[in-house]
Amino acid sequence: MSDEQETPQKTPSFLIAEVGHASTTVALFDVAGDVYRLIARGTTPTTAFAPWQDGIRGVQIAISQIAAATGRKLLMDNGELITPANDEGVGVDFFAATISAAAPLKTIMVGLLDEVSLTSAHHALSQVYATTVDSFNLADTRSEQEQIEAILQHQPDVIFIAGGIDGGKSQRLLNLLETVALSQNLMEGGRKSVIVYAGNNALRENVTGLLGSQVHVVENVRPSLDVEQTTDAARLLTKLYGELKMAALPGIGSLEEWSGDIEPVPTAQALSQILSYFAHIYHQRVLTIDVGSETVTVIAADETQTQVAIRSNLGMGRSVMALTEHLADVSQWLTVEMSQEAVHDFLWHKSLHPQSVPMNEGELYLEQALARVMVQQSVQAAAASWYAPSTTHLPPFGLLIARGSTLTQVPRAGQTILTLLDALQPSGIFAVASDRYNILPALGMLAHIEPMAVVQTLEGGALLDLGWVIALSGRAQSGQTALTVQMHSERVGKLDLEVESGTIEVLPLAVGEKAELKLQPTRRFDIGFGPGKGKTITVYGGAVGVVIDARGRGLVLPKDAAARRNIIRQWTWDIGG
Amino acid sequence: MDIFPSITNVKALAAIKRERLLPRPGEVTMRIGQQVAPVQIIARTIEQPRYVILNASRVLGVPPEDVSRYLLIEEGSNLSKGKPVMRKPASFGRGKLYNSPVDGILYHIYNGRLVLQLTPEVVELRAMVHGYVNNVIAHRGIVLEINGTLIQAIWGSGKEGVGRLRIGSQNEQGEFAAATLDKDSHGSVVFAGVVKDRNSLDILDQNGVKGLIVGSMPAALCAAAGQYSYPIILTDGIGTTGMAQPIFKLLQAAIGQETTLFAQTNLNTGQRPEIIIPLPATVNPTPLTLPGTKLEVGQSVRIIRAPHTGQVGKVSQLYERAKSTSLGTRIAGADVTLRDGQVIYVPYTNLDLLS
Repeated sequence: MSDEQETPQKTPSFLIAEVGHASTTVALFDVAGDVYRLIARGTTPTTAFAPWQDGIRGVQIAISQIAAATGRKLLMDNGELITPANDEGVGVDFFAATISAAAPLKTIMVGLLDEVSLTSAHHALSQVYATTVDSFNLADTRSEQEQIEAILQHQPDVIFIAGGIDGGKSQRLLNLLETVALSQNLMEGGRKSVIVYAGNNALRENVTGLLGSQVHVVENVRPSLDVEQTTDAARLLTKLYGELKMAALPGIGSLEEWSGDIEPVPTAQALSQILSYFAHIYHQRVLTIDVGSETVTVIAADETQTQVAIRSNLGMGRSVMALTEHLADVSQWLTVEMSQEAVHDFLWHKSLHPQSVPMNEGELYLEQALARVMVQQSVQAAAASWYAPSTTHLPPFGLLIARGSTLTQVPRAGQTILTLLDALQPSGIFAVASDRYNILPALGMLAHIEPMAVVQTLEGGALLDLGWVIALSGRAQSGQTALTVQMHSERVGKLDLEVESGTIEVLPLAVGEKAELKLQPTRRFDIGFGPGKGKTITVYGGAVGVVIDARGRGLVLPKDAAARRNIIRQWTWDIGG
Repeated sequence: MDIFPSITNVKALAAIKRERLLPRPGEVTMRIGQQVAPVQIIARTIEQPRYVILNASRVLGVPPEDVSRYLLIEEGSNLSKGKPVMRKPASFGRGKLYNSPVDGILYHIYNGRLVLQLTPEVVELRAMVHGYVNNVIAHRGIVLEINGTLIQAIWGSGKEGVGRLRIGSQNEQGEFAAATLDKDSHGSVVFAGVVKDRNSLDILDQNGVKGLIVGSMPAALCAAAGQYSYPIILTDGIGTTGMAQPIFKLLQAAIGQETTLFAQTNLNTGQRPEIIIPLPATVNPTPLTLPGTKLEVGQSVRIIRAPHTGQVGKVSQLYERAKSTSLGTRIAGADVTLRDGQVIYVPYTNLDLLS
């Protein structure tokens, strides 16, 4: 026996907060037994806004909930965090935070052509929490004075300038920039917008000469007509969001103190990190849809890239008002008769009580109808941004993760899948999980600090497995066979099924179970391997089971309102109510 | 587990402190301790500057750097509409004169352009309510101290108004009835349970009312409310559910009293629309319930979601852990005993503490 006793290396514990617009969630990760687990989480309405005006208060309340649930003292009597943890298990070693509560960057875009430079500028801005309040281009018929008035009225945080391919001549862009420069001289109280230049690199000197050395110059978002590069611009915009908006959030100072070297990051950035991590460990394309209170975020990642598309000012909180222009789109997804006036009333009411939740089926299904429209709009915008303007659907993925309480806090898990299937209309074979504890951003931070903790926490069931989906593309008359399935699982044994076109079927396969599926689509249908081509696959169970969506693509709803309500109700029942 | 619900103060007699602030820095005309009346001007400032851009380089047909040679006045000088600001010399005669299109100053010369700042209008801030000046905020405004009834509301159309309070519907569920108006309605503030159509809002406008307090109103009317000359305040919500009975009773008790509506709503800053009815402080006013007040058994709460929207009850049990709602979702909440004795489980997020 050696004289020197080896001291076991202490595994650090983590408290990670997500300060959202509506709610604040804090999760405690620590080793239980030999592996990391999500020990407990607390959640409370966000306190960064009136009447509290102090974001740290909500974090403290959520931590108190964790302390009450675990019996572990985490805060001092004065509310300060106890860190690092001591040998008696008091306190925590690391604290980190992600933030989506801060207001989006208010931006004005300036560029030459709407369909070229401004489109690329928009793609860069859609990767961060930002709203575009106005844009100027060569086709703008407003006078210089009207454009200046618009800038003075909006007082944008950022003026994002794109335009011109690299090396091209572009005196016309400089003319537009003179308007911007003049507007900055007229802004009151020394407040000026941050100017970002992401245009023709040959004009950089002229631009800094005109707008001053304070202008932030990044790579041209459209260096040539057929190339778009938004990474550099998006990186700067993320930094600006942190400096201009997150830093202005009441209570952020305390969060930064607690975080030490781990700077708070925008929640979307943390989500990107975890999606990229998933793509690498699962070797497949991963997609998350996050229907938040004030934003809808779509992130897709594979082993080569992570794509982000954020729709700010669209969500289930105050931003639900964005759907007042889309009442008919919402109404088509309702299972009960409801006038558009009633839907309009609900949108206003919900915007005044953003944290409230449905208490009856009518409002539950109405909120899910709103989510369908929001997801549909956001995914179409993401597809157009990531691929081509005419693209409306995303390419196949292997794992789909639902986020946001409208998608995850549902009475029956099938509702999450149905809402996403209706909105995304995907085809192929994929697994679905629900971030029911709202810990994905925390895992994103953790992946950065302690990657093994993420794997172990996931194995512990931090995400709710909903099951697998086999979504068929194609179309046939209702009642015709779309797919034959032979399922073999240990518990159920052998099960044969013919799935009719126009229907949804659910095969029972519980969490932790595995089954082999022999799938054979008919010639009009495709499960991802070509029309009529079958395959034998292994799938895993979930809270719903294995869902076969044979309704066809694109999904056509009956024009008759009563028939439409009936069929949506039928699909809801088919997937578990 | 402590629960901190949203709070709505509905107080028959409260000690109210309210800031009255200019939109921009200016001059405050009041001193601490002074009594103010609604019409009294308490501060004034100038409106946000507006500019006219004159592209002198283009007008004169000269390079931008040469523009200053043709100016008849210097940067910072006053301008009078119709008076010359620049002259383009001609080979013969005095050349062509160009007149200022506005009154104001020559604010700035930028790259051949003249930036003319219009003479700003003066903005006056009135007290809008009887009270005392509790504090002066330099260059911005005052803090008013008022003893009286305070009703915090849900939504407001964004204006201010003051007038004598009169009733416009039979009860808290009743629809506004035009028959309640007469020749004395001019200058009054009307309250009603529900308003359901544009015609009612038009009639109130035609009768010169200074404000409308209504329990609930459809979204389409809220969207149009900004077009009316008088402020509109919703005490309970969107739709046709009416007004909470305690609020209606409080207003009934104040019929004939001077009533002020501050109908501005800013969800970001937490500014809520308010109804204030100043009263003589014959008894000690009660303090307002402040954020951070814990939810407790016995408190009055208003339910904010269907199927019980607007119903008022008392908290009968608080739960530490999430329970299943009637829908089947698990969420933390409280048992609430409604006025009819029915006990329902309500998520904490759906409760509004009625103070």
